[in-house]
Amino acid sequence: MKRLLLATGSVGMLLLTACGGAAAPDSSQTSASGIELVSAMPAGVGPVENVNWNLADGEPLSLDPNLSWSGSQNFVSNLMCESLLFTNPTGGLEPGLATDVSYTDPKTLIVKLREGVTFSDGSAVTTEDVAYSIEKARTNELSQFAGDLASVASVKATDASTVTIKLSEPNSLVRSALSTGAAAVVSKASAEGNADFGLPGNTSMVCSGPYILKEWIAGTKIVVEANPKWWNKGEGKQLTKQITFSFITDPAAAVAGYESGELDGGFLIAPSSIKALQASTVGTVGFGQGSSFGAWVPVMNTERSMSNPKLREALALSLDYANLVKTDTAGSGIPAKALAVPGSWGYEVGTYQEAWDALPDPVTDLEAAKKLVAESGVSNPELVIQAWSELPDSVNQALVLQQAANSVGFNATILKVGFERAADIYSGAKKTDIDIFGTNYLSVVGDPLSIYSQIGLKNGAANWGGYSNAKVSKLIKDALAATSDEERAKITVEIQSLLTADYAWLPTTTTPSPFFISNKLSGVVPGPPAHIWSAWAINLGTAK
Amino acid sequence: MKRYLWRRLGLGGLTIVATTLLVHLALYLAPGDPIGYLLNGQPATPERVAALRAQYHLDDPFFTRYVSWVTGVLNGDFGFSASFNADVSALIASRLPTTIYLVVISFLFISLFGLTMGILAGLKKGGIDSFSMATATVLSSIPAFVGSFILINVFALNLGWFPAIGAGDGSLSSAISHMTLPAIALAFSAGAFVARTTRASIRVESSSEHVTTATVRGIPRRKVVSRHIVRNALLPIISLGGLLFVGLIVSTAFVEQAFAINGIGGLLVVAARQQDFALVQAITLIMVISFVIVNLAVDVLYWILDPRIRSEVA
Repeated sequence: MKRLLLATGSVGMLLLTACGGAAAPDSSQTSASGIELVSAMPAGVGPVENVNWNLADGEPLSLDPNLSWSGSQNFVSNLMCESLLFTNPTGGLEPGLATDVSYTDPKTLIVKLREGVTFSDGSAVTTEDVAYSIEKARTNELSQFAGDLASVASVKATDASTVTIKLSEPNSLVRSALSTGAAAVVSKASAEGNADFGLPGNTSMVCSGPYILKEWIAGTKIVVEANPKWWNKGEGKQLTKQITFSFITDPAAAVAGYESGELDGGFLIAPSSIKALQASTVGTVGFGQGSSFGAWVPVMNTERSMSNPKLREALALSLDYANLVKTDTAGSGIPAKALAVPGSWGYEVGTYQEAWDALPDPVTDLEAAKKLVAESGVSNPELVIQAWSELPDSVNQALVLQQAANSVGFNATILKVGFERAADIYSGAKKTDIDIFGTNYLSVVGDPLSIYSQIGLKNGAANWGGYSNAKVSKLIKDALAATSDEERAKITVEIQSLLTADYAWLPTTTTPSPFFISNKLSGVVPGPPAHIWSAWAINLGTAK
Repeated sequence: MKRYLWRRLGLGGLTIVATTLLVHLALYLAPGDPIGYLLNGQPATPERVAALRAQYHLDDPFFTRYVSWVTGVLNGDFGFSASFNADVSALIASRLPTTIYLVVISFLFISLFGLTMGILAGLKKGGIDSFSMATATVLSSIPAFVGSFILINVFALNLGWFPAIGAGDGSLSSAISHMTLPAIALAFSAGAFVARTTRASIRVESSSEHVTTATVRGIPRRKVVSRHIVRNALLPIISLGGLLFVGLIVSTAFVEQAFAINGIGGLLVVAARQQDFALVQAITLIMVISFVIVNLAVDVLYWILDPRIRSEVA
């Protein structure tokens, strides 16, 4: 799921990626500045006729879950289309449309389909539909999941309740990919040969989830309503009969909508709006725990400054982490010691917690940084920081880095480029005019191996800086072959310590997901990976 | 009259062709590559980039693109919007009513306040004049987006008289309640402009010879004002109104953003920024056509109001 959201103004560049493990419930955490982080709000208690929810990323370009375009798209399509595995609020994997998904050997995955499930049109969900959906995600040229399913050799409905997935090489991340849009099951009958499937204005999409697409007026709104035929319905679920999505990308207009009560809530609140909304009397700003983080990505495959590990370390030492937590996360985050932040530990939490505790705290040490620059042998090393001209937040962050870098002896400049270069920057292509660029990224499944394999492998989906380390590659291959959670976690923490020591990326802070919700409502799951892949509004209802 | 109208229509047609050609050329020559937006920023294989380029005809030469667009439009097909992944006709159809409501209501406000204030200030010197013109000065200096924030905070968030955002559910009553504040915000500076121009025009006519003659001949003041001053003074205002009306369609963008209204103005901004040829062209076409129609209406009004034009053409 190497893919990226061009979030308008709010979170900047957001890249999503995939993978997973077993359920690992954990209660909420608290940020350094005392803000309580939420994995899941208390479930709603009473019914609601309609909830108006804003999609701050704008209108989805498609709702086809197997192609997966943007944050907006996920928030709508995960209400309608369910994946084989369900991502719980803390990133763990639970049975979804499949009652069981397991490796019989490192190259074979057996999916057991839940019996008696029907699509919203009343037809049965069959293993043919499952195989069709995964094949679509794997082979469609517009699919964002092709990379995650690259090691899949074949997907076959072997009988009425079994789908067999054969891999060309061991890949322990394919199982967790089945919790994402890569295995969101759509009705083959509604999708096959339907060129308008999931496109704006079209409502022909048929899935099996808790909500049905009722209306989509392109450019104006999307309305979904509760699916009376949902297999998993029950008390306390589907309390909200209808959800109307709007696409307000302008932060000020969205604030006016929240404050006037015309919008009941929304994810991806722009950092600049948080203060204004915290003063609101009609609703609350919350922070979803989530697996997102901010980082600087050094370009290492050139002869320029960032190919020198000493200079990367010097830059890391020049950052003022406490201040970054304030400016980039409204005080809700903590300095990130590594890229797999606590919200991404979907299994073996104990192992990951222990490894996290053992990592050194990010510190600011200007003297040590200056010394490293001096030792590098390059006087006044050049540092070109890329920023997006369309995103003021990105320019501001570049300015902060520029100042920090210059204070320890770099000759830092900012290069503003437009989104048309995104395809080049977020790829492994050599970038000869850029030394470092910022990103807000996240683990899209609750498995730290996902993010580390994307960065640590030579052709990794997020290895945009050209990192390479033979030892890391070897360990990742081992971890990909490790279908036992315990073994995989053990290898992954080793990979983590190597990548961290190499400054493959320079993590800055965890970035909890700010959301707004009316005081009358409760019950949303506000953070990734859960709210990206699994119905975040199943328990949405009145607060009292 | 017929020949006059035909000539006007012919000129209008030429305007449409020239404008669309020009806009097409401008987009064609603009720097940047729409492919970045088509990819939505995601990493892509060269094959995928090539597939997208072919799908959206990004590598076709200029005239091929223009001709295929014209052929499409003549067949009622406005093309496919790359930035919205939707049919241009559907996108515009869902947004046009909103923009029409907004522009018409705003135009009513502009006419009502602009003309009333202008005529009063023009006819009555002293307190009313100074007050009207001071008000006009203040209003004209409020940009639409600043006006929007003030109106939202006072009338929507504090007093709760109007909705703060959105375009309503499509019914007339909800459209009126949703569009009132945006229409006022849009009307601020244009209304002030109309007031000033009307005042000046009234002053010119009031001091003209035919008005003095009419007054000396003992024609009642009311009749002098209505037949000799206001009627003549309105001629330039009608032209101005026509231009303002068309300008309003474009300037809705700021107000649409502030009130989160999905209209044509905002659509044009997004489309132009993302080099969405099909969408920009379709919106341009709508604007040019409305420009031609409004100008035609202005010419007809002139014909009716001004005997000199009738004699000129005859």
